[in-house]
Amino acid sequence: MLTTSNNIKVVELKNITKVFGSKVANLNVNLDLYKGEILSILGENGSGKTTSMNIISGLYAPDEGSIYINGELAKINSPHDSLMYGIGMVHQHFKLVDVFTAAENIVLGLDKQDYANFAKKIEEQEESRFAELRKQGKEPSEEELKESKKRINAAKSFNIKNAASRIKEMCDRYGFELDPNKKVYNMTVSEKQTLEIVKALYRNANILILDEPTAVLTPQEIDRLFMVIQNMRNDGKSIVIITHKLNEVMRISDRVAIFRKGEHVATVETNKTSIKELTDMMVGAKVDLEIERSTPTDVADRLFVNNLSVKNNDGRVVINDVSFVARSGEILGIAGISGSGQKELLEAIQGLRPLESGEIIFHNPKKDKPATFFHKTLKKIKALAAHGAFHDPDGKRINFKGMSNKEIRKMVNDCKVLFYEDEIVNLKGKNPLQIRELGIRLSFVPEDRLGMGLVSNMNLVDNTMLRSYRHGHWIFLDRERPRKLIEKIIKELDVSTPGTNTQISKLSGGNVQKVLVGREIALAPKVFMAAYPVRGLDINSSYTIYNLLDKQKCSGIAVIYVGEDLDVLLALCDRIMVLCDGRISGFVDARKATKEQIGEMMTRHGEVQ
Amino acid sequence: MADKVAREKFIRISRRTDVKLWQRIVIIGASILFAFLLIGLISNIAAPGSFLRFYEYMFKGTFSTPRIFMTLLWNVGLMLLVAVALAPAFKMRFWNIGAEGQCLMGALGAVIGLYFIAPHVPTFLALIIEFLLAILFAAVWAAIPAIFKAFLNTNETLFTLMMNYMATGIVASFIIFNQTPGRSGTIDPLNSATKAGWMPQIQFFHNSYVYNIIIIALVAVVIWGYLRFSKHGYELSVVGGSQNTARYVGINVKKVIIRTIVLSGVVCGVVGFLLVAGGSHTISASIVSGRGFTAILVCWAGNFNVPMMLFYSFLITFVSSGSSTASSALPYSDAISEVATAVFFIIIIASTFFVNFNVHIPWLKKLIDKIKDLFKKKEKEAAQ
Repeated sequence: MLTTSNNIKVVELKNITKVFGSKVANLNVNLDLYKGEILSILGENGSGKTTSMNIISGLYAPDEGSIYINGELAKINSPHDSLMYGIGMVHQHFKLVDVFTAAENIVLGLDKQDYANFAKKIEEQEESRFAELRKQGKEPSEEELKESKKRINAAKSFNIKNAASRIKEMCDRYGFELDPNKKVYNMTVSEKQTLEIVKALYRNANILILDEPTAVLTPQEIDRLFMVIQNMRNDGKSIVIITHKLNEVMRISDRVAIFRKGEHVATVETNKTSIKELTDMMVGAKVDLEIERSTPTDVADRLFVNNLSVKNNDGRVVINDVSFVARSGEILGIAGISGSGQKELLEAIQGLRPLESGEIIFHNPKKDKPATFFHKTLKKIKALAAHGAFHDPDGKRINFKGMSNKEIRKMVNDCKVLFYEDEIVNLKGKNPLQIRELGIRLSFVPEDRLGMGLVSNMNLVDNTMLRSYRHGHWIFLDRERPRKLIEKIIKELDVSTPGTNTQISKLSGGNVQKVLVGREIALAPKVFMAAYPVRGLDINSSYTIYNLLDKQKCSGIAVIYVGEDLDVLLALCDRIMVLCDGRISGFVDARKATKEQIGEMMTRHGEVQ
Repeated sequence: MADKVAREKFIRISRRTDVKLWQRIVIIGASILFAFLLIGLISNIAAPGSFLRFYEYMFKGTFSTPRIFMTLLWNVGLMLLVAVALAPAFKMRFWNIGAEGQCLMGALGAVIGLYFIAPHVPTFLALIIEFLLAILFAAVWAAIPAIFKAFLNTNETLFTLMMNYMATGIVASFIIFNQTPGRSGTIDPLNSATKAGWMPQIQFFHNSYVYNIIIIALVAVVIWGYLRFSKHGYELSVVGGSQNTARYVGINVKKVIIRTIVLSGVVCGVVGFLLVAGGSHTISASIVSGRGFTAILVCWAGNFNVPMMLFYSFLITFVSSGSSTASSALPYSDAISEVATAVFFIIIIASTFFVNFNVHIPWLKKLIDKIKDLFKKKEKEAAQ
């Protein structure tokens, strides 16, 4: 097993404390990083793991405490200082210039001093190489000396060609795949990440910090990344991975440091721990990590999507000829690399996006249910009756012949007019309001909670009534009903908030999501769509959401769940539809499929292209 | 702590997470006092020795007689009404800086009624026609940028600003074509003999603005209720908060933008109507006298909240008319009134920084602690 053989401390954090306003992000953090190890930093969102790494990389200055690098007290006031100490950080959101090539991005921001340092570094390397040779009793040849001088001189000044060759050399050494002349806007997420790592290595980083490196990668890309990371470790570099994915922690790291509520709780050696133990330390209490999956009952086809094509905001077709059925009493998972059209697909169903082609058909389960005037006018009911859409409680067809309007109204209001069959509605070309007015209740938890599902500068009550404020014909708002609803949501979903008049943006991510999901469930929907509903949520909130989704399914709702964590998709859903580049690459049974199988399907079309 | 950080920051700023009401009041109160002090100092620089007299004249020009006070109220009301007109637009994040032009177009509509129709119909009917014309003109003027914004997503700030200049041009040409014979570029008060189409005046402390002030109060209350309690008001704040969310819940964003801005224009039309029918009974290109711009700041400082806007309208009118009076008594020009208003606003708006952020100055704190220690030592010594 891989253990740290040497005990050279490259980074030491001593009593680091960082406070934002009244929030303590880091409290007395002591952390060591050894040479040639992979250290995972594990913790829930907001546990202070990224803050502590941002302090090392010079983005934040600590309020208290000190940083030692290679045993010396370090003065880190900016990311540039941190680079001088050989620390490179790859952020979750890449910091690259889209219209530049890989090589241009890498050399961007380097100054004369940096080049001089590079040259010095190479000179040192060459000298130690020669010294090694001399120890063996060999004198370096004239040609070799010349070659070495050339390399040192080349490193002294800026030259994009030299840079490109040095990048190539580095890539070969660690097994990166990167074309120095490729523009960033042509790159995949994985290539951009590689570029960020190479950028740090180019600056002679010996300590590499990766913030959530696997969040956007496919299983195959993760394998490649881990291989590269291991190569770097074997080369004597120290790597820190910030993550909250437990199985990856177990797979890659030598040691795991666990953060909880801003404090560094413990550091354990990976081969002496278990996922269960790590979770308990991370959450601070024993948690039950079982995702409930009930067996589907009363499955019925609810929503048909036929040959759907949709464009994104840039006018590019991102959903291409997609057909599927969502069934009531079932969770349909949608897997795919982020940006494969999941967002646009759900928005199209919700009526927020025009359809390029295809149609969306909703089967309203109205059979043997009474017709009402809530969503239909008298005229509409009469027209439907003429087509034989209704029957009376005895099973006879109704045609309202010879009845006055008053009599018809009475009959409808007495619930004696029942639908003969399910109502079939085409949602094509209808906006969200028109869909609602047809009496079709679609719930949608969008990816961008505060930007689309809620209004960030409004309070909880006003956010709760977003869906229902139109009730009644009175021009003024009724805030009483939403207040009662939000109080119920707060109680049932355990939302932590100072009160119902708190601005929603002051709540943490998990609580914001609970409010949104609670509101959407309160609509009593027929179809419940959720896009990345647990993104940014802590473990406990995530499981609350999973179990809520399962509960919706049991109450006969067709649930569509777009997720990124394949383990969760496999544990929660009944069927999984895999998208790749806006096309369906297949359906799998979530009870039988494997992660690798889905991972391959996620990329299959991409390689054909 | 054994090891200290290598760097001690000179100044540190952190966001306040929960601001209590009293903190807000203290900060704003302190900044208002500071602003008053600064204006006095500026006056003292312009006319040495005038520091205290400046404040004296300020009060004289605003509070000394009931009549003067009523005039102050009328000006406060006008400022408030323009700010109230802007509030729905601003709440929707539609940065309408064209209130000046919209009020001016409203005034033009009222003058057209007063000029061409009022002499031929009973005053009651004439007033209604003037009112409707004023509203129509201002609403159309506001609707143009709103329609462009809704359908073509043009920048409303530039658009409404340019509409101001167009309004000024249109009014200037109207004046030239209809100027009083023998006068160049002005129209004398219309129908002054018959008072046809003039707002009825009741005398109250020798003042004729009572009806105007009542109308303003009514409109302000209506808009306040509209923003706070109506479904329309709710919709426009959703659109202001996030257009995506608005679409998601099925709000017709284009419709809400146009409806809200037309409402904004209608209230500007009321301002124009009051300026003409209840005020000067004529028109000039500068009849709105910059209120359309000052009201932007009033609306902003008052956080789109009508009672707060009333407070700031009052303050700002007091400062500008007070210092204007002071300037006629003290040896400097009337421009001091504009300087005072500007200083006032800069300080009030800058004070919101201290409402939102906490400023820590470590070295200052240390210094104060040291001085405190010194005093304590001395006290001890004295006690001994």
